[in-house]
Amino acid sequence: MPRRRDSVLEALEILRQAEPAISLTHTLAFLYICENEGLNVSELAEVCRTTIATASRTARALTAPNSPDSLKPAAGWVESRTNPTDSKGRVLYLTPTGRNLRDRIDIVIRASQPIVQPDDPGAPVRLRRAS
Amino acid sequence: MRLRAHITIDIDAADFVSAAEHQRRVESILAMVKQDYSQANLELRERRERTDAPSGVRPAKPGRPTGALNHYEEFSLAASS
Repeated sequence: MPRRRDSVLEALEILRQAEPAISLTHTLAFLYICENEGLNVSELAEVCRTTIATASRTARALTAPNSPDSLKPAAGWVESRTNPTDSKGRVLYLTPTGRNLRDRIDIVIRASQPIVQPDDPGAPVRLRRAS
Repeated sequence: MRLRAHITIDIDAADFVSAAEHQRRVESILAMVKQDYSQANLELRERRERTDAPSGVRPAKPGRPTGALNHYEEFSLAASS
């Protein structure tokens, strides 16, 4: 009988289906932007534990192909806007496509599908069904 | 079709005398390679020691905060059970 993917795997598959060339670095950045819309590249670098240059390249790879400074794979999930409190700075928001992906992932997370099933032979005792 | 083959040998030599000995051994290997590939070349160079804090992973400089970033706490297995 087929099983459902666990929530993490299902979420990653949703992202891969949307953009086959997406990497773990892109995925982390996208998920942090989902939870922190309006953050700047410096803050993205901080939460992703990387350099500002890498965070900038990653964010640019998540923007749409027609965006200025867009890089491959140009997923189109994120857009860069002028910071309303600092005209020289840019802040990151989800595009409608990115928001749709976020909502689909949110549904998967709320479904809370674990990796280890109660019927798995190697399941910890606390998860096993009483027979 | 054009191909290029690299053979990489990383060597830790104790001093210049040891380095010269390694160079001679690598050159003798090159001589064998040249029997089949006459255009083979050898480039031997000294590599700089890696520092403790590689520049590629230095932490990001704090920028002007937007107020959009949440404060994250680390997940603890003990606290969740």
